[in-house]
Formats: sequence, structure tokens, C-alpha cells
Amino acid sequence: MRNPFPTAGNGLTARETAVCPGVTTVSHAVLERKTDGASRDALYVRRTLRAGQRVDHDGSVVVFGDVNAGAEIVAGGDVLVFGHLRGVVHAGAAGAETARVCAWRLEPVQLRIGRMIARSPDRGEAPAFAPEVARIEGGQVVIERADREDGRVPRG
Amino acid sequence: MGEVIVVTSGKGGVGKTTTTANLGTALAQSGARVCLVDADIGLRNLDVVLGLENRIVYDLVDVVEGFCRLRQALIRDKRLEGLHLLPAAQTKDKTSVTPEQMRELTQELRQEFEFVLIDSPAGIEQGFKNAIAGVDRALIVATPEVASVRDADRIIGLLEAAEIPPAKLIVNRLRPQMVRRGDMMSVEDIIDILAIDLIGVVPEDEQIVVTTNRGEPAALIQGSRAGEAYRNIARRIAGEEVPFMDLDANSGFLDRLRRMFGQA
Repeated sequence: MRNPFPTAGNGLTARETAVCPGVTTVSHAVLERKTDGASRDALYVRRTLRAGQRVDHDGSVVVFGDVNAGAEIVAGGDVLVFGHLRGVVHAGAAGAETARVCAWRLEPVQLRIGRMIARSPDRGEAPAFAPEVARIEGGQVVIERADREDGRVPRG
Repeated sequence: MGEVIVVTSGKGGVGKTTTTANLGTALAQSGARVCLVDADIGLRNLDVVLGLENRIVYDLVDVVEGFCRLRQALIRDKRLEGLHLLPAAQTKDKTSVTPEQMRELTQELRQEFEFVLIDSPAGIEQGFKNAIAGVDRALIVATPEVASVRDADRIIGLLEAAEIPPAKLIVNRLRPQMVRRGDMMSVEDIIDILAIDLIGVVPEDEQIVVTTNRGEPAALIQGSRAGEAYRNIARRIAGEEVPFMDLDANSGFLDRLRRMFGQA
């Protein structure tokens, strides 16, 4: 597992929503929802989500396509993107800290899991072209490659 | 029955009107009957770019309100036989027309013309909704800038939602030398994000500024790089297979020599 703080390959830095006042207003409404969505039915999105499009679902969300910059996904459960993730994603929006975000190519503008917010570095190199998984570990968002050498799926 | 094509972009200032004027000109040059519709009501521009401002008597709003007949409002181009313009109103706003009325209007126009090109206003509000009502396909104009590509992406999503067939992309104002230096998004970068088919690339060309101000589309001028690119796009719209032009060809001899030796 690579350590994403503060100089990970895709350099995401995590912080509590509370220290990020500009963003809390966005996530508050979402956090008030009471479901732990991971057990709900998943929503399948069989196309690319483009700028201005938003998917809001209590359970997990699976996208077969890209999530372009300017698009938003808010899911109660996990978010799986079989494509290039460039938009904003909130997994475990009801507060589930166990939620994951996976993508063929993980390059979100901002990534939220439960109450944690991670944002992409203001400047930095593009991440490796490899499937990656983001989750919370030890109070921060960590990102690791999904195709680990030992062939095991990363678990939190 | 003719085809109705909207030229749109989301972002303003990327060259929708210039593109509409040039494509219309190039199509008419090849003998097609073409009507250009300025759907940017309140911010009339297309007539200026075509140099037809002084001929306007009636406009699009007059037609949909039944104040005049369509034929009375159509302006014949001063240079090309087959080219016509339906100008926008200058003193009204976007709400004076509904998508329903636009659909009826384009339906009437397609009886008479082989190509009806609609110059869409910037934005995604009523004016845009009017511009895409009743169209058969869309051309998206984007410049190699993040904001332009973002807006184009938004527009493509809205066109998909309106069930208009997949749009084709025109990359406008590309500067190959900047792309080579890594200072500008490349056509490949843009396609990677937008995931739609490319129909043409128009290089940045100072002549566009000159011709636009003079009311004389660059497509009419031999030797204009942008004009040539527009003529190629027009042929592709008409269904011809035209190879993409080599945008590096215009760079200096030394540049090319340097690149040959891998120093550029």
C-alpha cells in the first residue's frame, strides 16, 4: 500500500469536513441521511457521466463509463467506476466509513468517503494508469492499486 | 428534405458564429442550397460576419409571430447563389420564441434547403433549448481550453438527454506549435475527455479576424488555413471522406528540420 500523505502518487490529502468550511455545506444535507447504503441495491449507470450531471443514490453506484470533471456522484454505499474518474465522488454519504471508491483510473477533483474529504493536489503529476481503490484507514483516506502483486483484493 | 444542424458549444467566444458562417459559405460554394439561422436572439451577429447587416428588414421573431412570411425574412447572400440567412431579432430576447415555434420553423426550412445551419447562442438556457429544437444533428465547437471542453461536455450531456444523435466535434483555434511544446491541450486530449467523433480541426488563423470584421467568410479565401479547414469540414458534412490536413505544414522550414532531428 502506498502512503498518500502528503506526497502520494496522486497526492490526495485528507481532512475532516469540519476544517473545510467551504465544503461542509455541500456534504451536510447528504450526511443527514440515515441509511448505511452499502447493503442497498446498487445503481448501474451504463454511460459516461458528463459535466453537470449528478447521480444520487442510497446504495452503491456502478458506472460503466467515465465520470467527467464537473459530474457528481453521491452514494450511500461504494462507488465503482469502470472508466476514468475525474469528477467529484462521495461514497458512504450517510456516514459509512467502510465505503470504497474504485476506478480504472482514479483522478477525482475531490473524493469524499463518509465524513472525510480528500482533494486532488493543486499541481502535480497525473496518477499512474492503474486501477485504484480509495478507502478510510486510520482516520485518513488512503489510495492503493487494486492490482496488487500478491493478487489479493485490498481490504480495510 | 434537408437536414437541420445546430452549431453549439456552451461557452461563448469559441467561434460558433464564425464556424456557422464559414460552413454555410463552403457548403453553398459547392452548390448546395443552404439556410443559416441566427438563433442568438437579442445578440445578433451572424449577419455582420456575413456582411449582410444592411439588408435586414424582417427577422426570426417576425416570422414566428406571423408578422411576415418566412420568404420575406430570408436574405440572399450577396456572393453565393444558394446561401440564405434568417437573421435574429436585435430588440427582443430569447423568451420571445418557444422550442415549439422553432421546430415548426425548421420544419418549413428543411422543405426548401438541403442544409439548415442553426447558430446557437452561448449558455444552456432557453436560447439553447430553442436552437436544438427540431435538429437532426449537432456540431460542437470547442477550443483547446479546459473551460471550453468542460462546457462542451455539459452540452453533449444535454444533447444526449434531448435524444439528438451523437454530436460531432470541431476543435477550433488550435495552435500546433503550442501543443507541441506541451502548453496547449491536444486534439487527442480533448477527444479523450469528450469521447465523440471529430469532424475537423481549425487552426488559429489571424485572417479570421480580418475576414470576420470585413464581413467576408474566410472559406471564400484561397490560401487561408482556417478557410481550408472549414471547406474540408463542409465536405465531410456533405458525406465526403476528406483526410485531415497536416497542421504542421505551415510551420517554418527550420521548425520542420529541427523536428526531423528531434530537437523541437
